[in-house]
Amino acid sequence: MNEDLDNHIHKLRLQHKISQQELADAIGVSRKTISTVETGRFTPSVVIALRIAAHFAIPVEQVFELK
Amino acid sequence: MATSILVPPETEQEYLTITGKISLALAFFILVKAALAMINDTDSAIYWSLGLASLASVVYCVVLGIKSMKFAKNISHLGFWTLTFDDEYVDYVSSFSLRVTCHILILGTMILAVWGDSRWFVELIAPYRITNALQVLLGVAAAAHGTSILWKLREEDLDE
Repeated sequence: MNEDLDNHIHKLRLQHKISQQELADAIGVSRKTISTVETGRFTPSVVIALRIAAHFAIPVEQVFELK
Repeated sequence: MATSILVPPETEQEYLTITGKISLALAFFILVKAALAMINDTDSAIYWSLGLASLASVVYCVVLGIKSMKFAKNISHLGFWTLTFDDEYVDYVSSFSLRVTCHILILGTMILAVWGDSRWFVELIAPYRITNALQVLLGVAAAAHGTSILWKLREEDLDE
């Protein structure tokens, strides 16, 4: 668990009405990657962070932020 | 840099799950083998039960081994043999489990290498031999490898 990092993936998914699996398929990772990133158990690479941000068409700072 | 997804992440996850199951079956086989060395009465029911369970674990290992071969053509040679994957979380789980296994093996072999011939150690594990201690170490390491993989890749409720 990364205590320093917060993310808004769950909120963004709800806003865009997409499931973890749909987001995972869209950015080419496993659903497990999305679920563990979303719950803060796994810290993704910059590449995945940027791909998630690009998928929601927002800056990466609006997906991830330091606590 | 353009990204290309050659292997579906689920395929890598499935392959690593099978690897974890093989490790657990192997651990069971090795630990049962070590346990059998502790039983003097080779005609007892427990001896035969453990022997059968050991045989079953070997069969399970072979079945899983054959099943894993189908991934050889889907996953890169490097990924197949060194458990390196493209999917970040699957690769993290693989690295984590190998790190745990490595630490157990280093600590265990260090103990055996330094004190394996010492009288106090031989008396401590008597009537078992250093081979049995090695079997237990290998079994624990394999069990840790399999358990850590299966725990981190366990199915959870979809949080949609």
